[in-house]
Amino acid sequence: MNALGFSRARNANRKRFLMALALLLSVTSLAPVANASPVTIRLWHSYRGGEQQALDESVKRFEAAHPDIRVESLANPYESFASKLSTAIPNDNGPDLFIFADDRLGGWAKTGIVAPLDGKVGAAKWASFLPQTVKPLSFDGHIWGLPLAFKTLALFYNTALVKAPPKTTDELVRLAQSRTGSGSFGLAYTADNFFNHAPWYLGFGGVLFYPDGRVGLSSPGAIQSFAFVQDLSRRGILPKEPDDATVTRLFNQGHAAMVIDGPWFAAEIDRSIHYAVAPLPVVSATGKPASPFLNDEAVYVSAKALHPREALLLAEYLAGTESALIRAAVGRQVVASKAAWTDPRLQHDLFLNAFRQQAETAVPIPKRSEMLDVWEAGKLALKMVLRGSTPKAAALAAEHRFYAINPLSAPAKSPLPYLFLLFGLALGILALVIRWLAGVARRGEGKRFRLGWSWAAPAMIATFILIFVPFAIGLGLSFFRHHEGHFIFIGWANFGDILGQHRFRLTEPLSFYYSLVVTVAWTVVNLAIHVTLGLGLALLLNKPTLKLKAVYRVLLIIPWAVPNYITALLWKGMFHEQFGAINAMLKLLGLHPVAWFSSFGTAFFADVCTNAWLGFPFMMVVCLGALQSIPRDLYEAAEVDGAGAWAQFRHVTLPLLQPALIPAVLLGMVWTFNAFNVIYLVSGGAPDNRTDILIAEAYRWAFQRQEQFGYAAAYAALIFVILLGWSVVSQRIARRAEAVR
Amino acid sequence: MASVELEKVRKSFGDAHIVKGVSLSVATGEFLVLVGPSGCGKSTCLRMIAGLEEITSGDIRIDGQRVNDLAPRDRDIGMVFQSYALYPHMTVKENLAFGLTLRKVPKTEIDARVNEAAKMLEIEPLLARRPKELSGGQRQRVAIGRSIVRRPQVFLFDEPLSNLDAALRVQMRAEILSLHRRLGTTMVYVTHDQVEAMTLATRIAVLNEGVLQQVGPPAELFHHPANRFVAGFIGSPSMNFFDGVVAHGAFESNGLTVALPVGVQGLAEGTPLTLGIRPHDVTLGEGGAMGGIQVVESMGWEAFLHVQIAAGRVVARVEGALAQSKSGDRVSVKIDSARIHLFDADGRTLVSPQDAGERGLSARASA
Amino acid sequence: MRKLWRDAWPHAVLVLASVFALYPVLWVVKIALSGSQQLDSSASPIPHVFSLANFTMVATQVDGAGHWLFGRQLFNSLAVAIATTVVGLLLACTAAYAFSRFRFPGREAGLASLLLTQVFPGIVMMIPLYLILKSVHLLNSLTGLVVVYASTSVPFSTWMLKGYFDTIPKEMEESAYVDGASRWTTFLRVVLPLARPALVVTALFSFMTAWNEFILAATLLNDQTLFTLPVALQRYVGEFQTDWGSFAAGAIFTSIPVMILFYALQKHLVGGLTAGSVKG
Repeated sequence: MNALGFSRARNANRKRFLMALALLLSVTSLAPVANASPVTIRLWHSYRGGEQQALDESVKRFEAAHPDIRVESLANPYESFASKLSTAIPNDNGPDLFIFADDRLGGWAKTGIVAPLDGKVGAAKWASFLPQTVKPLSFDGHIWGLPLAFKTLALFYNTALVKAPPKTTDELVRLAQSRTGSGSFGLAYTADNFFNHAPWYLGFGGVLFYPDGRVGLSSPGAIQSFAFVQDLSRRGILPKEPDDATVTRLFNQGHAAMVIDGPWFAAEIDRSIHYAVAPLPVVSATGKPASPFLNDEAVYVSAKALHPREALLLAEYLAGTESALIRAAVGRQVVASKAAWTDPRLQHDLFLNAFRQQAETAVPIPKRSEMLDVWEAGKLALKMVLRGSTPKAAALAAEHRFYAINPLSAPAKSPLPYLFLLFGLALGILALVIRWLAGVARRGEGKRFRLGWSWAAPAMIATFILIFVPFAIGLGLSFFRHHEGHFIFIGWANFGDILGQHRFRLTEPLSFYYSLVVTVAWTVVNLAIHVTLGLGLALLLNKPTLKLKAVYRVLLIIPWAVPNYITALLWKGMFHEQFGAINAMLKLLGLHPVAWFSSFGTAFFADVCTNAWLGFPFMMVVCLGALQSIPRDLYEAAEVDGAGAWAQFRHVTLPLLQPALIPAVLLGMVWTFNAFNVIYLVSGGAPDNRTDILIAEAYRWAFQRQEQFGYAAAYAALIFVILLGWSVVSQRIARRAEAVR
Repeated sequence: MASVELEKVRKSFGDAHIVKGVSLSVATGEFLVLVGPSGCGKSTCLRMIAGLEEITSGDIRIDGQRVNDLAPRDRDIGMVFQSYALYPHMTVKENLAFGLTLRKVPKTEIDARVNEAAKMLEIEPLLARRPKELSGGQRQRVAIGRSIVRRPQVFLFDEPLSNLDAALRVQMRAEILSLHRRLGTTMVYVTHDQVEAMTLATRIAVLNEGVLQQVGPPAELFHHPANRFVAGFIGSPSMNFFDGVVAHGAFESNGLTVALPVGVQGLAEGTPLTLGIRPHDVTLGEGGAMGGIQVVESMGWEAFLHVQIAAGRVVARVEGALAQSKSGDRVSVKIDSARIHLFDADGRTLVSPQDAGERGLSARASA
Repeated sequence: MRKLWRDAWPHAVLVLASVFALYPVLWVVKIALSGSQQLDSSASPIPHVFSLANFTMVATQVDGAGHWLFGRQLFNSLAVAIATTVVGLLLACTAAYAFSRFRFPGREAGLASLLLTQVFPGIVMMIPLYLILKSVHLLNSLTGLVVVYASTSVPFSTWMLKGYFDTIPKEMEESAYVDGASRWTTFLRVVLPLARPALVVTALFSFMTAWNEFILAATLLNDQTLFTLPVALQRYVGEFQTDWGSFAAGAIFTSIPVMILFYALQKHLVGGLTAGSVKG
């Protein structure tokens, strides 16, 4: 029996036993019977470190106060948390309550992931929170979560370098400028992230969405804010290609006077650095405060909670004052409970108060699902201005991108004709199979049929059920459009849109054809390098007289064994324009440093380097094995025939390597074609998605651009068709190679 | 011990017919050699007897029992493969014992039988080794030993000696023969080497293109080949052949005229014939067809001379002084009509020399 | 002088290549040893701080109920990877044997379909897999993971093993048949022992696939004590900030078993990977 069923059965047994016990007790001592069996509720979150400790502590206290409720909490990896929630809850496999920020609330409310709480929680309770933390949790006329804490950006400054925080942006620029120079920067933050840019964007009066639904990425305020960042960068106040690791390091080395970051940044600051936090300055041009987004962390009750009553009890406790104080003290969180702020410990906490003060001007993230597309479009604009485009051009490009990645609004179609087609197809296939089976029986091949398949069937059935069926279902999604948790049948529209290029020019990064060309180039270049590197090293290692062979082999195989998530990120760091090892080496050689991720060629090069590093050991081992199996006397014969080293390689080694190499290369091609890890982690598609290969684009459509699963499935289907065509061609090549043996 | 019978056995792979209706019976205790050029279907026949190959049609009986549908392990046979097929991951002893362990023979008996076989084949010191540590001859012995220990009813050999060098081959040939004498088991032996066939066989079966050509004791095949193929295949060096016609009551081929022997004198003028004569029956002397010696294969006291005459090339076995001939010498080749074989246009034998006398036997010994 | 050069240049190239291979890995070590949580990719990869704090922190994690998480997760990973390897190989080796030895109707189609799976972009399979596992109640269980991992490893393993089986002389099996072995006995006692190099390599591949996978595991598993190491590793990556030190230490812990396997199986790795395609 499976684990779930088992535990249920066990629970039922236990329940029966406890009930019997309770009955016995009630007869003998007339003790109260209620709540004899504890209810287990499940709480999911992605807190770590102090925040997790604080939560665990609160949960423990809650359990102590409610002996009839057991809480099973699960700390998830953040990266897969959201998709896990939206997969698990509709499938009745989710938690009773979970903690998440407010940014995905819109989608969750519409798809029935979360349950509204406004009717179940009293007005007094709602009034006990800071109002700006409740507002982001309302959507569609309901309130969906109880706020726990919020995160917002603020200004961190090194008190040794900055005496008083700047009150206006003019002051900020002046102050920063005076702290800039000789490897130091006045201000550091990841300027190409739209979340971090939002304070300027909103402070300059940039519009996110006009009332009629149009996006305001090219509104005058938006363009001004882009110009402001460009100015900061041109003045050298900002480091180039600022990423989180760089910002942290600069601040910890005393090379950054000010940093714009959230409360989490405190955990990264070195003990030796004395710092303070202040609200962000007022934008001088508009007189409006720079307004960061408010990231509102709330506890939600699942719409499918098994024990909604108990879940709400826990949610209310977590949102309550006692829990908030623990959160503030242990988790260093900026809590939402008003009462908590009256506690003297909090009142005198300068750090937390700075963020609370900042929250006065913070703005909730709009709940429209299109907001997801603003992140990508905004990032595009920021990258462009930081690379030198005019703010206007960047804003227009961002606007264009925003509309281009908006979900397709193809009309729903009747699936009936398609179902007929599918049915006909299935019938046809069935008929073919039956005819084939009849043929097998007629030719008297039944015995061999049974023998072969009785051995092959277990593997083939497993492959069929767990690879073919899911893949076919996945491909079927390509005929649908995903809208608020529902799949709407739209026929071939996704394919028509992708192949018909309605949204993008042919040469634009997001166009299918552009990505296809990049993918092919990516595959070919990588394979060429893998084979050259692998074969070259294998040839060296295969020299019979070579010493230390075993040592080299061990060292060279290492990249294969280390999980590539972290090594890929290290490679990205090595290519950093200002602080990366590669540019450091170039400088040592007297060359100019290169901004690796600002042009297609260099970004592609960085990706290829990383992938070469990850992939050459496999090819080397394949070649080594193949080389070892070539009989020595063939070389002797060639030598007698007067062949030099090159001729021996050309006429003996290469032809005899072919049978081993060709399958490895063909397989390697397919793998590389779909290898999105490196692209995603190293260049991240930079610049402007130009280095994205097809599978990376498919991933973005599915998970970053409003969950356009159908569109992504159509991408996957096209990738499949291309690879299928390629494998037919490559089979021919392989067969020709086989004829050579 | 058992007999083996093949009845109208056929084997086809799709449209390729490998064995085309072979009927053959091997008596109990007999040593039958299946011989033929490569690709003639002899190995396929053997593998069908072993049960390693399905039979397309026909019947195979071992000890009178039809075995068509029996798995190899139920046929009680032993087989020695050309490549020996020793299990590389087992020691010699484990290789020998494998079949017995599968049959759940008690351990003490396995040991006894393995030791007995090892002793018989003189491989006792090798029992602990692995196959890759053995020489070719030793592997061969182990392969044979592996079938001996099970004491099967029938032994099958599939070109077992072809991977050995010449000297070892002669030695192993003698050992297999003595093994047969000692065990008395029915043996079916496949080879493409007619010398092996002649020296080992009680009876030889010649197979060509899937068709059985002739079955009989070695001497009979040598002296009375049933057709031109058998005549050419058996004997070393091969029989000389001349294609010609009956003219003026004699055989004539491009200047070579040989009187027709008794029994075929009634042939009509112009009938196409092939004349065959074995090298040892060719003599040199006055009054024959003149020709130049092209090649001399000298073995000291005797030699094979390859002489080009107008009718074609002829090989003659000579002794003594004649063996000292040089290439380029001109000689006269004589063909005695009493020593010739004649074949009709379909290759069937019309006549063979009457006496299978001492000359023939001595020729066989020297081969 | 020229001779010296001729002996030295291969070493020069190999040393260079080894540095290339080791450079980023040394950084992982450096970050792990730094005792801090920062990603530092600027200076030399030689560690200047030697602190085991990150390692102890990762290895001694305990959950609310006092379970030793790292130990459990290591155990889970090992159990899943080993079970995947065993199940995957069991399935693959019988199929590979059939495809290599028997000529049966549907053989070519079967082989081609296995090859076909290698070109499937996995991105669309997640949700259907979830639904399938749900229907058999294997969502929150390691068994479910093993089932998926094992079957996804089958096609590649089958092809690898088939290639190797093709090189094993048929007579070896025929000899066993004549010796009295059934097909199954022959397979177990003759074919599999002979295919050891390929089995070892295929096992290593299956093991690594299962060992490193995290997306499916993170989605399916709802219990911290059921997490595998890669899922635990991903926990160090947060929404706004990543604990690089813990991540690096965890990555090193995660790679150690794979490295041990690599080095233990090195000899087979070189032979088993290619013998199938070369000796044919």
